[in-house]
Amino acid sequence: MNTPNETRMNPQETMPAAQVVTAIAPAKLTLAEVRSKLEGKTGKRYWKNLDELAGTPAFQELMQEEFPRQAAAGEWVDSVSRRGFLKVMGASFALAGLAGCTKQPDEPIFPYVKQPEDLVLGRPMYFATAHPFPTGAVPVLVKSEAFRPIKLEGNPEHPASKGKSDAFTQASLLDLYDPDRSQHPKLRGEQAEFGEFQQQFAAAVAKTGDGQGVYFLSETITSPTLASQWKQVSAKYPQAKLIQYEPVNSDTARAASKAAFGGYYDTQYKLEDADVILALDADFLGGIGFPGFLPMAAAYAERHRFDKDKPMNRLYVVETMPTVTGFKAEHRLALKPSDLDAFADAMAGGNSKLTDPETQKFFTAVLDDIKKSGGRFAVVVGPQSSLAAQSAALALNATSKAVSYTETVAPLPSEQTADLKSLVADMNAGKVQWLVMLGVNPLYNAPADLDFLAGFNMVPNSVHLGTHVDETGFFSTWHIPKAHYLESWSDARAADGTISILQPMIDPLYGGKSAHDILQTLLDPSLSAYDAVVANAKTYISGDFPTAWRKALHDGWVPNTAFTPKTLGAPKSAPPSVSYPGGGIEISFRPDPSLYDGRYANNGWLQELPKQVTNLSWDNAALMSMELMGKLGIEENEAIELDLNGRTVIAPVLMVPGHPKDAVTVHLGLGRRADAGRVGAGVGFNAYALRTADQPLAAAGLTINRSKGTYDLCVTKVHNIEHRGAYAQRDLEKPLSDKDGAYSLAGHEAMERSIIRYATYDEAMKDPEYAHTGASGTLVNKVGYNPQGEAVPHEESFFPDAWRYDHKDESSKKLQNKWGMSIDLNSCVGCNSCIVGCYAENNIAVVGREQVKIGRIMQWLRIDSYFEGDLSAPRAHFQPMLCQHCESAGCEQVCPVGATVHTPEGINTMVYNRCVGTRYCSNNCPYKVRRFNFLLYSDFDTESLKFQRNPDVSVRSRGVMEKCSYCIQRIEAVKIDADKNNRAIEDGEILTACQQACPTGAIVFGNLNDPAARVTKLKAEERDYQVLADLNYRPRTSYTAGVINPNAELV
Amino acid sequence: MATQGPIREPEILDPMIDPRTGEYAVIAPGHTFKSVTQKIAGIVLTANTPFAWFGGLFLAATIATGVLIAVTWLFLKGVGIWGVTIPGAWGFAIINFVWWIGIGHAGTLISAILLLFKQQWRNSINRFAEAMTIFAVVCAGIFPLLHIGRPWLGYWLLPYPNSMNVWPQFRSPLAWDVFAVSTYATISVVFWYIGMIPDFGTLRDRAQWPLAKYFYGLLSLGWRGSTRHWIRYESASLLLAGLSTPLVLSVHTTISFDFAVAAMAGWHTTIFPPYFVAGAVYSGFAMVLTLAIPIRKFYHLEDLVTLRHLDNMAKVMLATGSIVAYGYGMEVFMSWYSASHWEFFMMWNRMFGPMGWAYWVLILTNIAIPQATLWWRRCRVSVWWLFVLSFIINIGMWFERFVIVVTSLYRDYLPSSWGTYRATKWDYMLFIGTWGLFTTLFLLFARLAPMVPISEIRMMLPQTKVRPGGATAEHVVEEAL
Amino acid sequence: MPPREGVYGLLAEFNTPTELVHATEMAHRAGYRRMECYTPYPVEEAAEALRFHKTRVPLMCLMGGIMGLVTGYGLEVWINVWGYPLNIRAMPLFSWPAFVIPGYEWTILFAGLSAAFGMLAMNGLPQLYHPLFNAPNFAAGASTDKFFLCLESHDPQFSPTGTRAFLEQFSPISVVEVDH
Repeated sequence: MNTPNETRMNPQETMPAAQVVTAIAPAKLTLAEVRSKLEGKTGKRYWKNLDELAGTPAFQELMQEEFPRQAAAGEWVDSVSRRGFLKVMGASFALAGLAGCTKQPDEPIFPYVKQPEDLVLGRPMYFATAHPFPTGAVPVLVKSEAFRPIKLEGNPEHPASKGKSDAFTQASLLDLYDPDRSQHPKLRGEQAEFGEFQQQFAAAVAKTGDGQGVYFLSETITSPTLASQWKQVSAKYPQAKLIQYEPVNSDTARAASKAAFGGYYDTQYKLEDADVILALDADFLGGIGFPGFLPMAAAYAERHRFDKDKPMNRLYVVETMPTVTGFKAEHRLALKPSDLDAFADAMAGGNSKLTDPETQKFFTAVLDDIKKSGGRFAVVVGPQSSLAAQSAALALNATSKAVSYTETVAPLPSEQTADLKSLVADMNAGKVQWLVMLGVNPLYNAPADLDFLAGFNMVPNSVHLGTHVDETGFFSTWHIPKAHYLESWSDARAADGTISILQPMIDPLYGGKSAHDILQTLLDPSLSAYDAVVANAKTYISGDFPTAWRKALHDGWVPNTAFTPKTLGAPKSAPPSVSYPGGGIEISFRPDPSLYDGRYANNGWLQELPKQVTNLSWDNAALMSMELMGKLGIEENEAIELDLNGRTVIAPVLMVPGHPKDAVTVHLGLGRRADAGRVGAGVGFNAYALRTADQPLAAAGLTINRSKGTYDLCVTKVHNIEHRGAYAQRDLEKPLSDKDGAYSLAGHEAMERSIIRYATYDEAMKDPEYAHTGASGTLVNKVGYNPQGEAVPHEESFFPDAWRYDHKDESSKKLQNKWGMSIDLNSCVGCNSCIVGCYAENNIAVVGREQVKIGRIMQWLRIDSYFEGDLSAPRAHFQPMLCQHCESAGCEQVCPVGATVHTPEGINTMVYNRCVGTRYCSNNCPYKVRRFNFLLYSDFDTESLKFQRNPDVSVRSRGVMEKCSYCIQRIEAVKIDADKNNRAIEDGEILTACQQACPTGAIVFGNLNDPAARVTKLKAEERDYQVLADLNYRPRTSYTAGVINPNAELV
Repeated sequence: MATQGPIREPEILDPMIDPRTGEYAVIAPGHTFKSVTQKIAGIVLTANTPFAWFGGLFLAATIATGVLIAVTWLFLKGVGIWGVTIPGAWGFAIINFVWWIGIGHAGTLISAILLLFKQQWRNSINRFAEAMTIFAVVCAGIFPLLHIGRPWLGYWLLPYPNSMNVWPQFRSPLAWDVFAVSTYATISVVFWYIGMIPDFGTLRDRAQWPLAKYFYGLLSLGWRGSTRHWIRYESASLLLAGLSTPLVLSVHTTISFDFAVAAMAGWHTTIFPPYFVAGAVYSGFAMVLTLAIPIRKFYHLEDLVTLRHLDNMAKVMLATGSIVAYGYGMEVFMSWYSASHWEFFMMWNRMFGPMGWAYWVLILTNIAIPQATLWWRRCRVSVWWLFVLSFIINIGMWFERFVIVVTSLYRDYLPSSWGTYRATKWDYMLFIGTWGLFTTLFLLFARLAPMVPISEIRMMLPQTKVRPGGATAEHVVEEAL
Repeated sequence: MPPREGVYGLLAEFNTPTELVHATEMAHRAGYRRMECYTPYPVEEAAEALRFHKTRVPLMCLMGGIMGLVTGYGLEVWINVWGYPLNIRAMPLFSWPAFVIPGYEWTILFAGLSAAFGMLAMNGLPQLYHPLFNAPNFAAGASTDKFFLCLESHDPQFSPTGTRAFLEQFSPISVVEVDH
């Protein structure tokens, strides 16, 4: 790909952007000239040149002239004032990014599918790489349109992930184009050159001789190459130190395995072999925050699918903060941290007493079930599990067939908090001369009691490698912009140990550097990260290197690099676990379901994403149970002061169904300062301020004081607690749940209206038709507009066959396509990755907090969560809701301009440029899946964001209705390709974005006229049902009723 | 209409009561062609405009600027400045549209239907009732255009040939609205203007100021009262009346289809057409009273717009109000009788949900208060009470639309997407602004055109009797008096 | 047309409709045909006396109505079945019930407009000048409380003196000669 003509292509590529800007502001130096100056330069030379250029006054002037008019434009078109201010900056970033945005890296990388002679515009290419994450990398395919990465998809050929991906991976694409990324190396806030840094740093370290006083503080190292680079560095400078620290880490697991086996090992769960699963504070269905999420979620869903011939697994969850895992569980026990430790200890045969009868009952039931399973069980623990839980798991899993131990995915495992402590000690002792921070932000997220800042101030030279000039970067002597993983060479291990090579999709937009470059500075600066990766790859790539290397890049993974299970002796006695003095109210700290530890704070997609379980968007809150709220006499949205040993934060209150009493959960990762960027700044409160090094997961002795005022939290789905009163009970099947107690009216209605249907395993075995005849979790005797709330018989419609979808092509005698979708409610775990995938695929706008709050979120796909039963211990149901593509679509009939119509293949299409915005269609849509651009939501100003947009999907403007299109652009792409090659479309060839992203394969799309298609088969199943069928809208999307497998003793 | 009320003692003494019928007279006795002409034309042609008129106009115009401001901001930002959202995608704009259109209906009813029924008493009030209709339609017409997301493309709802060869979608009630409302507006304006031609002639002939003479001369199209003209004129008026009658019924029927055709519980109701029309007439007559009462006082028209008129209008309100009440009753009944969970939940939520208060305001203002009073003649002829009541009823009718639009939408089929509705300051500014606009237009009309149709009043005088077989001197003398 | 010279006719002014009708009747019996009454409000007896019975306004109205119906409904059918056929909610292309209302409205629209403008056209309005406006007493009375009979000069019976004498016998308030 590295031919001069690519580089020559750049100017044309950026032509639109450039023309726009020059048209606006005729400056001393036009962009055309800028480009001409850069013309023909390649690679490092190119960037150096841009730096020189940026120095010239003319260029500065040009930049300045951009600002005011951008501001003016921004104000008019923008809805939320904060976004207004942010847009002001807009265009300038593109200037800095400039032609680079579509430039290929110098080193050869290989297209995934086929390598085109040259770029074919509008014809995407796919490259394999991986999304590195502390818990293990997620292998991805990058859809590259005109050399711009525009979408990430799981790598279907990868042995571990099997093409699945998750919310973080999907969203990491937006980080690449984040307009707030830092763009220049900075020395004490002044713009500087990377070369300058290299000289200074190398010289200074060389002077120390043995590297005395040189400390590296890195995020968890996931790259074998980086590890080997470090080994070389420490060989050259033995006294230099490396500390890895992340606020969300696996310390408890490390400590436990150290104690048990005398070394650091990762646990590998084979849930396909587990009939009984017990999760101790382990949210293994929540996302890649949990190591091995993708294979585990897939395996869980596979075993949880209802199949007469094969037994179904059963999931027990004991946890503090309710998670999607907990709500998928057949049996969930909510315990506050101290009780949970006691429970775990008891499980491990310890001498803790379980006082509460409920807990006792649960305990015995689980233990029996595990014993009965005959080794086909797994006790799952994760980063959030306490030491006690970890040891209990090790002890119990000793007899499990589904659990094995391997070396750690992270090449340099360590107990991070302890290391950080020693670092702070050294800093305070003045031992630290150079503190090089690689992708970390300790000034924001270090434990509060360590007072990192005090020590930091005693360090003469601090270096910060980061994507943003964040809290830490702002105070550091040196700041180096960090390259995004799509911009840099590296390698990483997936959860199963398989190595993937990270190849850059695009040259660094803002000349970012990677940790490899920093370490290389101390070795041989002339070698690039690419050289380092190649050199290290030779150690694990076997066979003829050039071909093997090429294959590795092409496939996205290196064969035979997965770990093999280790045989370890029986685990030794567990170490003493953390104690909870005094009891009282306890607080537990959890990474945010959407923002993890705060690294995604400036990612609009994730900020707006309704958080799992709470459906909180753009906020975090003090999450607690209704009992506790009652006890403290506080209401939702009221501000309270959380006081933990003298450290305090102010937080709004939010009730969480199923949260244990006497405990409060706070999510980390919010409350970023202005440095976080236009999106993340000032959202929520910073829970790190309460977190100490000794009790990073949970702590006791929390005191709650009422504070002044209220804060209107932004919750996308409310659960009103209202009671109809006795007289209005007439038509209810479960009147009790509506007379008294704390029941969610919405949740109750969802059951009464048969929107959610499920049954127990036994019921399902007895009556496979239960979804239509009724079961414990299926109320179908409701009388809607049609008896039984069931679909109207075809012939009862007025014009049943006015339009048919069985047209045969005269020449080929081929039956036409008829698209439809089926969603398995048993498999959906509510992890949200489909929503983020939809964001990226369909150019969905981020509307901002205020708009979301009043119900104007633009997501085409949402996951409805309903809480059934008493809100103190409810059963939750997740239901992905998107346009149902009704054959008899009410929206079409009421549109006065025919802006939404049916295609011959039965898709309900939205014609954006015909829409005048009467919103009548939304009113007449019983599923309320239509989204309206009440204001100008799409960002037409920020240049860098334009590069991310999917060119096959129009960017909607103000006053237009939009909705899920079944990803029609993907359908058409495949159809065109099939036509060209004169072949039929295979089943599963068309994947909608949501389907592609779904880690459990809950969503299936296909051609209903193809009897062999999976979707056709699924719809033929007895459990298949349509939501609100009695309205006779005849939806093309149907749902497969759920089946749960409860333990008889606990029912 | 003219029912024989029991004659009570005190009312016999009232000079306005016709001793033969015991009814209030339609016109006070003793008027001649000249006197009525002078009285009515005088209001328009007087040289010294009452100061209060300027005061009122200034006030109204000031309020009307709210429309300008609200609309400017709306065009700049989009409908997002309003309280509309998902699920409540319709809000104030539609509520106000239906409310204003409804108010208009009384005018057409008075001028058309009562004409067909030969209700003489209508003559004194039909002119400004028609004016009210037109101005109400003007106010109503603002909203549907503004409430769409891209107002500059509003013309796409019209069937006009275009290069893309795309047309409106005629299955949508909104497309029907376009036809119904535009026709209604056009016919009303034509009917109104045709009705004024002879009076413009009168004004032309009586005007002193040359400019006024010229102005009314143009408007009168050179009307000279030729008998042949009169005959054609009469038949045209009758035809227009005949056409307006089904028209006025169809307009609110069509508007009720905006809701009845949709599938939302609370909208999907067959009773909507009749009870929308009744409600429209109900609120319309209330508005006529709101205008008539101050006007007759201010311009001393008590002997042309008499208690007889107020009484009759009150009776119409009583009748239509009862139909509306029946409509509400039916909705409640059907929500139970249909045995449909959707209907039942909707009605429960409408009454006792978070927005239940609106429903009870509606019941109080639209049913309780009017029904409690209008059955008594004493209330029907009490000017002050009718004035107050007219406001109460219009508030009630606004709430009826609020309840229908909002409470049917914000908690619909899928509980996950339940929301709420909160109007913003821009909603209120635009709504209140239209009151100002309405009043402004009406004040201008009252100043520049004859509020009461002179020629039709003349026809109600006893002097119009023609004695067959010629006239004798006595007759002449007698009739001259 | 060029301003015509000479006398337009003789205009008799009466106080009451009765006298007017009487005079008109007599004039007709006397063979006058070219004549016209002018009254402040419609006096049907006068029309009787003039033997003016039928107007064509209703016919025009009917025509307009039919035209509107055909145009409106036809337009809808053409658009939906031939012009721009679409699959809207799986409904038949010819969804006749949905097309009723626009057709209905256009029927009324066309009918109403033809009635109104037809009437004006047949009355020859607008006609801002008319000889009668030259008569000093016409403007003062015709639109207020006086009743006029005008015998026009191009009636064969008409003679300035004879006709004046003829009118005088009905004791009008005045008889004035109206010029073009």
